[in-house]
Amino acid sequence: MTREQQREYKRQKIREQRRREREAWEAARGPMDLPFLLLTLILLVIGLIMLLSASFPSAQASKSCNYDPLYYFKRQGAFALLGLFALFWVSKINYQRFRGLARIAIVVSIVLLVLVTIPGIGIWRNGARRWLGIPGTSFQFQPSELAKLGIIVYFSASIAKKREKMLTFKNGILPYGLLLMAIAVLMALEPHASGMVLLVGIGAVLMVVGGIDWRWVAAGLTAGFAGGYLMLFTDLMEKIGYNSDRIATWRDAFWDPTDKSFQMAQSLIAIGSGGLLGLGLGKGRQKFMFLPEEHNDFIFAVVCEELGLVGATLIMILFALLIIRGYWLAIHAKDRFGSLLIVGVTTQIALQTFLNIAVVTGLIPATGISLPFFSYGGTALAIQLVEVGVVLSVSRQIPAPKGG
Amino acid sequence: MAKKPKRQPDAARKAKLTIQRRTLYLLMVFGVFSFLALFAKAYDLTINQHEEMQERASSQQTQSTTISASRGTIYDRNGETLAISATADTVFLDPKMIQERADELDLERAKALAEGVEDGESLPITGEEYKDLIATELSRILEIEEDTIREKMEKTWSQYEILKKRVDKEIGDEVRAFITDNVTGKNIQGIHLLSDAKRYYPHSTLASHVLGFLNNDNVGIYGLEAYYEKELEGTTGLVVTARDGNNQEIMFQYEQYYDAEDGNSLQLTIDSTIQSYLESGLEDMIARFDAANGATGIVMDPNSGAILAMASSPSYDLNDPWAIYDTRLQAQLDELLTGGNTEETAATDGETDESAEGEASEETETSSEDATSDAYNKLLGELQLKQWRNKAVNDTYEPGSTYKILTLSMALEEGTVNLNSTFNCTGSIKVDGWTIGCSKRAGHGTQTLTEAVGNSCNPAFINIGFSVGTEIYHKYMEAFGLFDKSGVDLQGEAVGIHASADTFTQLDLATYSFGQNFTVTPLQMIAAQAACINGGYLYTPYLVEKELDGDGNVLSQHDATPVRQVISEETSATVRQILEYVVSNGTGKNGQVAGYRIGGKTGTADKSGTKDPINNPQGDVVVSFLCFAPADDPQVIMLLTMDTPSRTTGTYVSGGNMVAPTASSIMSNILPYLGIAPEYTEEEIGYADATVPYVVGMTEEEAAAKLASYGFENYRTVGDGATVTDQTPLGGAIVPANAEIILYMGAEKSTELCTVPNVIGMSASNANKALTNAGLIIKTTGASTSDARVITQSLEAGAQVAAGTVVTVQMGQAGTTAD
Repeated sequence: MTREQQREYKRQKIREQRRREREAWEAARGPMDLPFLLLTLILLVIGLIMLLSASFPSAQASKSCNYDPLYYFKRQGAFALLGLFALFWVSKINYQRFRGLARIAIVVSIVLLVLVTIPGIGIWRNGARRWLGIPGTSFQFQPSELAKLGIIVYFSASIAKKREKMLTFKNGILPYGLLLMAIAVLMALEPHASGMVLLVGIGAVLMVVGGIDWRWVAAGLTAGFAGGYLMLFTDLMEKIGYNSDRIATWRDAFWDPTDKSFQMAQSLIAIGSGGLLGLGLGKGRQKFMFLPEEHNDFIFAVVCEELGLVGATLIMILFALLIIRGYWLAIHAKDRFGSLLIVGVTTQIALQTFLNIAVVTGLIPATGISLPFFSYGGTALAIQLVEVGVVLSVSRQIPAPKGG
Repeated sequence: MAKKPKRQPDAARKAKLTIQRRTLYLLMVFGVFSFLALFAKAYDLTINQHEEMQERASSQQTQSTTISASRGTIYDRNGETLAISATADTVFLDPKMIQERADELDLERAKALAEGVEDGESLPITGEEYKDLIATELSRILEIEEDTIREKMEKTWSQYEILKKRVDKEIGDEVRAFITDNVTGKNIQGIHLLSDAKRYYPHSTLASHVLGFLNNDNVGIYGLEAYYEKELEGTTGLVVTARDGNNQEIMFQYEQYYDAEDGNSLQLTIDSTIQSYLESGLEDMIARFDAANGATGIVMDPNSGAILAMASSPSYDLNDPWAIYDTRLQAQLDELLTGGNTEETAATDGETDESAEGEASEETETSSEDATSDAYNKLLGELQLKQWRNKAVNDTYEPGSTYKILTLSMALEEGTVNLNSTFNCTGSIKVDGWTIGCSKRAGHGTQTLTEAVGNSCNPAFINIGFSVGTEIYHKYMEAFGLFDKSGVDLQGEAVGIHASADTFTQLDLATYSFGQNFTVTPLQMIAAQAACINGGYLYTPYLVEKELDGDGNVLSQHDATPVRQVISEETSATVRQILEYVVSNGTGKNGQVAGYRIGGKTGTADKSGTKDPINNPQGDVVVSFLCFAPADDPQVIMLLTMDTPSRTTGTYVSGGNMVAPTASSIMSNILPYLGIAPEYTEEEIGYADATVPYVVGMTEEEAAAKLASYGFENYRTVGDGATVTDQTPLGGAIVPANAEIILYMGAEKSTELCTVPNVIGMSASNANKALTNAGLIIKTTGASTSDARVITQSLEAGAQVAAGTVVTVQMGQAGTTAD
């Protein structure tokens, strides 16, 4: 090799690298997926309107809200704006960079989850320690919300590397299983059952999609169904001395409508009284100190009451389209990491939507899971929008469809 | 397609395919199936369970406040108010709140004392003083025992203790004033008033059985108040407001307002003037003959069935219906009490007040033995039912001889008898082996039809009945409406007992023909009798002429179409003619009214089941009298019955002797009132009333001329002045035209009182003499035949009255003839 050749080779290499960098950069600058963005924005707007409608009576009656009927709406709106900025910012980042953040994300998530369980650091509220405050500010957030993102990024990055190794127990099950168990224990310490269900659920789904042996999937599903059956359809829980008010309520929401099944009863009354067309936007009555958590976990009951089956179905269709579009993007993503990222985010939205509506309508026993884009909760909303940004970021690098 | 995609290693491609395939499964599960499940559940709730949930929702989300409708007013035929509603207040205590306030006051006082406030203006009263204040003031305003209030105040767990129901507005206002303005300087807490409606009956006892009254919930339970409950009550209005989970009204939420619709008013056929004539007549009659089981009276327009008056005795006060009103009934109560425990008499006075709340039975917690109070309450309940009973409609009786009018009508209509028929009475008649006696044991001998009716001869009527025959007779009874309710607009109308068509025997016919062995209500009876004399038309008796709305618009008007024509106009005319004879010449002579042609029929009926040969050998009877006037063109018909008159009054027990004079006296008031002009015969002229002219200031000649022009021929002067300075009776007084007018010519009118002489038993002319001599003026009513004697006088003998006072004497025959 002559010097000339060597120099030429070097220049070529540099050109090659620049070309690759340019390619990568250009790929990240591709068009983001408009349907997914639009569906998100529509749901966000409807969600904000419903939050206003659902929350003003309790806000007006509450001293902690300064009797301001717009209290919840204003705060949620601010977080939505913040979240939207974050969404666009994240969507412009080449998602490949998240690979490098994966370890940090999971470590930070676990550290925060540990911190929140420590009395004095985690904020004790409603019989659980789920909140962390940022010193010097009044800002509070739930580490479990952040952990969702952490798990999604870490699992995606890790699983994407493993290919067929996922089929083995040692590589495919053991590390993730241990991690999820650790997180489950931390969540149990808060305690935060619904958060545990979601985190473990997202992780498990990513493992399944990532390619673990079907036998594990079958075993998991069998165990899940068997456990569910024993809990719900036998008196096993009563026998082991578990206070099964929730299950009793699930069986009959009106078994103790003034006390133990009050919330469920009020939810069903709200939904049922809405009928086909609903009482009209803003004209619901159940939100007037009848339905607890009406601006939160039970906001969908207000939706049904005010917009009826038609409005509720329309919103469910929008959620379904968002989820279908998400998975469609996952299928078409450029690489496995991108696919898994989108699957994680979409699954989170899907799980939360299903579980929330299923609880509110009494399809499954009550747990406290919020409805994405609807339920009041600043951090949760902002993080959901960031996650949408991640999906959109991946969507930028989807190769243009061939032909045409 | 310039660039070929970079070829990936096999393993990577495989891994990506796995991810894609499994994501597709997820898409199906989370994107489609889960939402189908959610939709199915939402559909079930919003559609299938919609109604149930909506019901649950509205029951918890709404609260309704009722707006009471004003109950309709009841007017008599001339617009006189008989029943009207007004707002009243129910006063109740909230003992819990009172206790709280008392505790608060104690605390405040302790605090004030601690701060060194001296006893005076700014020192709050003690809690105990607060309670005392409430008890004493309310006791004064509401007229309740202070102890009762204290007792209720001690029930501090309660928030609702009624002190007094439906007090008048003025008393309610007084309570309100006490709450806001009192010595504590602050509003009294724990006394509440609840607006309510109270029914007022301006005439108290008048037409009590017709009007009826309301229970505690303002629902009519007797009389027209009950029968026309729907029309009178109106529609309660409703405000439905949304409320939130804390029971607060949601102001900006929906509000539904259903107007209260006031009840409709009723205009009755009852004429309160005629009603009062009837009631006072009955009262006098019962008092005179000591009737054990009261009396009834019905005055009806025979040409429409409109009831002008309907009375039943014993009566009661509509404004206090639970209190025993009749002295005879009250005496039974008193007897029980004095017989049991004398101390309780004091308690009863309080008791009667309490009974206005209808809770008499609960309130009787006196110290006396329970047995006495049980018996007392039982008797009280029985007596209450007795006094509320409208015997003219709710009770049946064997009509007796007044019923003979019907037998007569049937036979005349069927042509089986006529005015030329004759009947022979031997004093008894044998029917199917049974001997039925005539009231005149010796027999009436041979009589014409008219005479037989005039004599009220039973054997004659048996023959008249027989001439009609069982089958047709029974059909006529049905046609006269005796087997059905009359259809009057009152509830609880009774129907009597009678033989059915296929069991109606000849023996039944024999007794039925003179009105025995079957029962009817007085109202059924008068309706049928009216049909006999009004041209043959059976009308449904009725009490409500018009239904009016709040503005007086007529909503409905009674349609007085006859039910059917039972007999012909001609037959009816003959019946009238015969019945006029009964009053002018027969058993009904005491029913005569001077100046009027009266038709009528007397009756003395054995009461079924009372002919107990050992205990009651004579048998209790119902005496009655039916009369109508004018006899040739009846405008008014009246039936009076009296149940079980005493046999020891000296008057022979019969309708003609006991009831007819009362009927005459009532009719003598009703007929002029109805504007039916009297036509006096020559011998009756003295009975005619005339208005005394005002002659003061005139000379004697002028005065005499004026008096003569008014029909007064007799006058005398006192004093010797030139002009009349005073007169007795005063100008405007209505007195019989044969009265002597005293003109004072300058002399002072004597202030000396005159003593009323006893004129009972005298002839009309003798009585006139006696009373005129005493300085009084006679007004005669009743029988005008030459053998008539004074039966009653309106002022008792020995009474001291002013000169010129009119003394009404009832003429009649103290005969011993049975009806």
